[in-house]
Amino acid sequence: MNSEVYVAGSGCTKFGELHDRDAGDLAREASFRAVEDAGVEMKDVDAFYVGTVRSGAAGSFLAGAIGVRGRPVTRVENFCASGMDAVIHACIAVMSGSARVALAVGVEKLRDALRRGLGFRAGHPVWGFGATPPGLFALAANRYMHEYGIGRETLAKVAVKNHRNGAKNPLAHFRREVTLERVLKAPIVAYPFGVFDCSAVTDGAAAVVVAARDAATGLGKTGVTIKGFGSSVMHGNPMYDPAFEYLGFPVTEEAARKAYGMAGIGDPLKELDFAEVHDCFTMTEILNYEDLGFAPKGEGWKMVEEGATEFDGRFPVNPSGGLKSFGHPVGATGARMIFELHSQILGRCGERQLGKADVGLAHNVGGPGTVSSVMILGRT
Amino acid sequence: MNLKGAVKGLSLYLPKFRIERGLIAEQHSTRARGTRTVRWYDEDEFTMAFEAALKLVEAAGGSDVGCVVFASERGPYRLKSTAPMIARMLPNARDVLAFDIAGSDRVSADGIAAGVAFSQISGKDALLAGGSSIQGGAGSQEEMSGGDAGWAMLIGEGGGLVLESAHPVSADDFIRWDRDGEYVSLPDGFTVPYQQTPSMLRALRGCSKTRKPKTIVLGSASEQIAKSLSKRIADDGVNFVSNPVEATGDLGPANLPFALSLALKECGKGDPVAIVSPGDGALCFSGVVEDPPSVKVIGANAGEFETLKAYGTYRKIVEYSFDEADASPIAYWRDAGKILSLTGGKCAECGAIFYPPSEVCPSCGARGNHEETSLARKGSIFTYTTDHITPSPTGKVTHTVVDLDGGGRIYTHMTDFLGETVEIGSTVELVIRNVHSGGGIKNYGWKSRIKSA
Repeated sequence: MNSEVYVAGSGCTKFGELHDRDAGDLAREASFRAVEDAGVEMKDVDAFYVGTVRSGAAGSFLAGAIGVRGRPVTRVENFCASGMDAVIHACIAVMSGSARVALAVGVEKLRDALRRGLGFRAGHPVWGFGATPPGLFALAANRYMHEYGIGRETLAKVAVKNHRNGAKNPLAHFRREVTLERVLKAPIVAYPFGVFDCSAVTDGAAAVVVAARDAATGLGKTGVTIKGFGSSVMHGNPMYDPAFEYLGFPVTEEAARKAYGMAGIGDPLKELDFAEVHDCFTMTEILNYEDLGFAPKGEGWKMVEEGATEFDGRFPVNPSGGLKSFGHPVGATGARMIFELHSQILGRCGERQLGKADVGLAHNVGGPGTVSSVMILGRT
Repeated sequence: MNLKGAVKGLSLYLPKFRIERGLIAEQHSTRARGTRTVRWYDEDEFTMAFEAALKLVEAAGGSDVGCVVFASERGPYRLKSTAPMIARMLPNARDVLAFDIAGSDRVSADGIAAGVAFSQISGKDALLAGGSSIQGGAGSQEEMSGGDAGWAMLIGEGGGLVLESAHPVSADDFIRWDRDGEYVSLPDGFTVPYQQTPSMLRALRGCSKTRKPKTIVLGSASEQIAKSLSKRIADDGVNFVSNPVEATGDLGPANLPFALSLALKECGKGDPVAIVSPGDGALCFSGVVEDPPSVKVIGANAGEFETLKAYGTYRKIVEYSFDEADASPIAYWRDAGKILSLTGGKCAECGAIFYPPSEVCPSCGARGNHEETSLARKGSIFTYTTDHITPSPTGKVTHTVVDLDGGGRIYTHMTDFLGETVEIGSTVELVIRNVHSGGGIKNYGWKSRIKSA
């Protein structure tokens, strides 16, 4: 077993309504950017992982898009964690010794058909029918607001923060700041979420090249190491589960516990410098603070009110602009977060560069809050 | 012919929504008084009948139901029985005789006859239930004059309204009929009273030979028929009772149980009563009130109704249908028993009560070690959202996560509700509704409704 895995390169497309390109075009652009960044050629990559929920078909879709054959291409699907799970599986391939260099690409082409959200397939004619992603996360929001007495204003501050960060990011879908008033006055999507409490339906792709120590050393790309990762999945019916408290997502806690254990992190707030967390909805970001151990239970909202997670706060969260600014091309999101961590740690974010960015965490939570993955990257 | 049987209980269900009939009449360039009831977009003849039936069976306690009759002009399907669906949802009604009587204005009276015959033969009770949804297309007569409601009756031996004789009159009427699913209008002058009054009169006279009634219950909402019969019978000691159409609209066969409930409120012990229902001739019952049967009026008809403000909203509600693309009659058939009877599992290892039932306990993972348990139809809202993307004719649907009394949690859409916010902790009851119409079938499932006082 080779426990050391390096991020040799990463690449990301512009996120947005990319009507002139299909999923293959996006996967190709992200993949070639990543291999060029790593200084390798596609023929040097031993294994490929494509994270997507509903774009293309099988691994052949990626093989065709990037022109490879004779090597394994594995499709990974796990709701909103699909992209990060693809990266994790690329790491596992390297750790197992079966690949020296592996590529993971997350991609989603949603705008060809969707306009008003992703919809949700419950898999049963009656049980779970009619659920939507904002509706499922709003169940947590209303419960949390009921329990801790916070209002829509606190949620809105998450949107204001992330859009402020995203306004500076040339790859983001939305590059305008929003005011608190505009967020609060926007039409309701699923109460208490208004339009600005939700992440958008967007197209995009991001890719990451991971390499074993000898390969990374040969390429001179040993600057960023995978410190840890973890995943957790539970049954898909939390809304029928009497034990589900709706004050956070147990899968996030479980995934984080594994990732912290692997990275040897005891106090995340002290040992991490920043995080990219899954702000599919504003409430989710607050719950993530608590589930990831950044704040005690019931106090995540205080970090927002105090401005602790602002770009220049004591613990910046979503310096990229998050899903709020990038939109949420489902399979692409997790890989896009790893791209952000890689870029920040290497110090190549220009005016968006964080002061201290040695160790960062990326996190996805998806489905009705039942799948989660966490990765920790650090300066070697 | 002589009978031995009684109406032991009666329950009525009216949907929550109303519309001023004047608003519909405007579309017809005419005028109309009163309001009509409007079934909600997820309601139909089956769900309204079931609401009434369930409440009646619950109120009757240990009634030994051996027969379920769906007595309704129409059902949710043109070709598929409804009574078995009602039977499988009722407690202790497995392997009963379940059948439909359909297609006539007189089905509720026919149901009483069938129920009495069954109870005479078997000694068990018969549960009758019906639903009327009299909704023609935009511009139809039914749209303006009709109404929507459900009802149920428990027939058997014992006290209540004891029926002693029946007198049928047979004819072949044209009252309301459809061709290819659309109602056809009556030709001018060939009116309902013109056809029905003579048959009703003959049936009444036949029955009156046994016992002269003090109260005559009319299974017709026509004021003209009531006036005409009263004139012909010409007896000041007789009280005619019919369902006042101003409040509900003309409920077709459901007019009879509604009129009967009004009559029973007025009757005392020993009062002779006749029930006469028109339709393909007429059927008259003669009886006497022994013990007033328990009349349970349920649903939002005690001043709790809500009035739709626009004709367009009303049409959207009644015309709405959503076909979920992935739905399949196979998947529905497989789980219908567990859906309709609201059966969950109780894990023998960790005690968790879960729904939907599954072979593996969602809490502890124990496999195959649970027993089936009947879940309560009442609970409290644990959390909710009002979702503006979920398909609906009203532009939004409130979703609730409900903790059921006695254990188990269910995720439902809220129905009969137009608000944006609800109180967490509010008490709700579960009601069966048509969740969607994908796969070419009605996909019935549970929804939640704010529990009325």
